Amino acid sequence: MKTEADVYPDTPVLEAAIADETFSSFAASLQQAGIRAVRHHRHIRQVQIALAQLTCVVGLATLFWFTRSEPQQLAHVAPVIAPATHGAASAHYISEAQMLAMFPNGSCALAEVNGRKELVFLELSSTRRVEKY
Amino acid sequence: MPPRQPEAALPPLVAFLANRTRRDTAARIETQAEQADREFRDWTRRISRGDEHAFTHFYELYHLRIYKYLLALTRGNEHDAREVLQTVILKAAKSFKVFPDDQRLWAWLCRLSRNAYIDLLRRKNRDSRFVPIDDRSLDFAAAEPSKDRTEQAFADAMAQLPEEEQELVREAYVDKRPLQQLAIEAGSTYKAMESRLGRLRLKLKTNVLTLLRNENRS
Repeated sequence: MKTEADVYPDTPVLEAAIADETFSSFAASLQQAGIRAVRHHRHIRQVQIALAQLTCVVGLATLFWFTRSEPQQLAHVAPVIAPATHGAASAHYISEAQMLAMFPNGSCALAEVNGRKELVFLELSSTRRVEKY
Repeated sequence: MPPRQPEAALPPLVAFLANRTRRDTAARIETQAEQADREFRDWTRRISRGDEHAFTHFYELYHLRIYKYLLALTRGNEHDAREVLQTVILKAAKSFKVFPDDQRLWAWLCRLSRNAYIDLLRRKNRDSRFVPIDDRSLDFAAAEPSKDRTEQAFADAMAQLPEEEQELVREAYVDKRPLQQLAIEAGSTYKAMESRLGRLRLKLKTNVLTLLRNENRS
């Protein structure tokens, strides 16, 4: 492979001619400025990388926190929903007096037939048996 | 005594050996080229990551090369060439990339140089109080200067020097012979030789810049 020196053997003379004293001092200060720019750019890069890592950590922590707290919220909601769904079942537990109060006074009574409590209606037309209350 | 090879078998054997040698050589060259590319890529990667030593090496290798290119681009305007060189080096320091080889890196540096020079001309046009009638400077800047124009101008400038002076500068800067030795041979003092070479350098530089400027006019 041909180098510049092979193609232009006089290149060192050209470089000596164009790189005079004023250029040498300019080139030295430019080199220092370049190194400072490289250093500055490296610091910026390091800060950017650190910020990116921090963002990732915060993001992951937030995600972790949300995924952990979600079942707790559901568990907290569940007791509120439960009475509504079991509202019908709670009618089981009204007392006998409360049940009798739901009908006109003297129209029915509680009677025990073969060891089971039954609601007996006193008028013939409306007499029927409620097997279970 | 080894058995005699049949004569017909020799050419294929020779061809086989020649092919094998060629293959081995090609593989070796390819491996060397790959390794050189890898080293170049690693070097540019180190610069892009902010390695100061790698950047210093880059600067030593390329700053004069860029300056020569800029002298051709600016038509021998030293001041502009230096200003653009400064912009290019600082831009390169800030946004260096990874390059697989010298060609790509040089192409990138040339592009940076052209863009920086165009920006400089635009700025100058904006700042100047008078609007030029024939504003072709941006076209000139956008045009790629012919390859090695500075070297061509330098060759012409060297040709303008007397034979003796050409020999002297070559001995001093190409052969790197000690100044003291050159002074003794010329029958002068070290100081006188140093001054003479200084004058020759200045003369060469002036001639190169003048040739580049005149190239613009022609």
